[in-house]
Amino acid sequence: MFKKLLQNKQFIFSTILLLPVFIVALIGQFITPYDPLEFNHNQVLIKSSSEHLLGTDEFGRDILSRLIVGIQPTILVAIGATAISLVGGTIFGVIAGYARGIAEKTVMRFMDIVLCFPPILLALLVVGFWGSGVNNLMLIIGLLYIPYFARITHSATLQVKSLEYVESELSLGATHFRVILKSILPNITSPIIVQASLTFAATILLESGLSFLGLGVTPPAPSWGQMIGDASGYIHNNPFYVIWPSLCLGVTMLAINLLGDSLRDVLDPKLKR
Amino acid sequence: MLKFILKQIFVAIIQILIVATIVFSLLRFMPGDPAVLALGTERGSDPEAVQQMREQLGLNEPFLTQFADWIAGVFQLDFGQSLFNNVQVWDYLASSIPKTLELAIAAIIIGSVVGVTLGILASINRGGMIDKLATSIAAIGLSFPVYITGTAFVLILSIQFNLLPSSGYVDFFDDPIGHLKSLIMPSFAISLPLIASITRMTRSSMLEVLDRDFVRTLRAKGLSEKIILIRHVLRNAVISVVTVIGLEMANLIGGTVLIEYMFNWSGLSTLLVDSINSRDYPIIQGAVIIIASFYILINRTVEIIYGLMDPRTR
Repeated sequence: MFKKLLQNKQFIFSTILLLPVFIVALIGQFITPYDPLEFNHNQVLIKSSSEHLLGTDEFGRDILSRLIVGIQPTILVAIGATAISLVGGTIFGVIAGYARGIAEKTVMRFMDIVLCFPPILLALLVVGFWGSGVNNLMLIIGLLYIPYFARITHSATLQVKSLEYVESELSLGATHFRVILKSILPNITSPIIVQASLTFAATILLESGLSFLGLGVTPPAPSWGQMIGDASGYIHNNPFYVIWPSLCLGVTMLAINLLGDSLRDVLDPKLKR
Repeated sequence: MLKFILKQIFVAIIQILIVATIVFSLLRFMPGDPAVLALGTERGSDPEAVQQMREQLGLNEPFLTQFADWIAGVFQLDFGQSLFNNVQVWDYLASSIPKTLELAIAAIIIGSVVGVTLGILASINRGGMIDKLATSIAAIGLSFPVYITGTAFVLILSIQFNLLPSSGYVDFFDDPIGHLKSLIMPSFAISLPLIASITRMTRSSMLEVLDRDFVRTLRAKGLSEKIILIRHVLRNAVISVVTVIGLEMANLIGGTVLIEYMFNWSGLSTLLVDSINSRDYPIIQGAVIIIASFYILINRTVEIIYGLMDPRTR
């Protein structure tokens, strides 16, 4: 599997693009040239100078420093939300697909209910009332994407469960828990990994969208989506203020999607378009 | 067939009822007392006034009675009044629904026309320049958030070349041309993800059909390439376009939320975001119900169209 991935040019390319993003997310606060939260009313909305490489925002804060720090909440929310939806969705999906009967009906109907809402709508409601912040965003977005995972793992489990070796294992006296752990889960990892990459992209999109609306990461701590939202008010005064965060977010999203595509091509050749 | 359609309608009604229940109960358990909110900070600290307000808003009734009253009202398009003034929620909704619908329909039309065209061009130029261009546009459209493409449009079209207004809604009856001008950028920005998915889908399904035996037979029969493409191959692409529109509905709604905010387009999503910020419960309930109902109805319609075109899926 890894050998195949390493032969995939798209995979290599997108990993090279994403690696710096993750590194900066990890060590960001130690490498900022300025304090990303410090106001400086003498240097407001500067385009680019030897002091401030990418200019300053409406409060005179250094844009480069804010960009460096602004990755962290986005990546944190995306990782947390993806982990929550992966674990929750896999548990529900596998149980539903394995147990069938009433358990399956209850779980899948419940998932259908969540799917009645466009994700951003529920997220808006919950965040608007219970407050934003990294932890809340992580939890809410994670819960919202559980049904998407559950659907995938459910159908994958159904496929694997009908295979002979699962039946033979059961007839040899293996417990259900053992069968799920040793035979089902290892055989549905490919769709899970592919879905995780899709969810990761979707959660970043949702988090930055909410932040763009001013309902995401709590100010004054920056996040890319929020910077774009703030900057679009000053697009006439300093267009570069909006260009930098847009470029960062756009390229990151592009890289994540390319990574997802290459993972799907390698792990799930049936889905290849 | 009729049975299938009736079943879809039934499912839609059930789903809308479930959504209504969830929204209503969610908002009841949210922190904050609507009566205090309605009175404002000063008078809200007076317990007597709060009690009176609760009575007036019907908040002292049992939960189920409140819910039943509200649902009964919803079916007559009576969503109650705004918390802060005596304007009917429906008046707010009625003025903003057409604006959002216009944006969404414009985006769907642009997405379908541009997406299908790009997809066809890419598939008949497989591996060529046009194919590469279309694939790149699709990759960008799928990954860039709508407000980034929107920003790019504003930077180029209104700041650099001063062709279009950077934001704002112009009423059609006041200024038809100005209205269309204000519509161009937001609808194109929303349609980009749609263009991307439709291009990809059209391209791959065209390529798949072009490889089939019957196309070879048609060519051997001496039919012109144009007729083969339009009459025989494209028909398959149309089904996939309908499916993609259905699948992309969630993204489209997300797109209108962000783009309306960005372009100051006073539609449903702007109403929703504003009323979430001011905690105007009745408007939030109304707006969520309407948006979710559109979402559900479109998904069901796609299901019906799908069933009509491909009876195996019924």
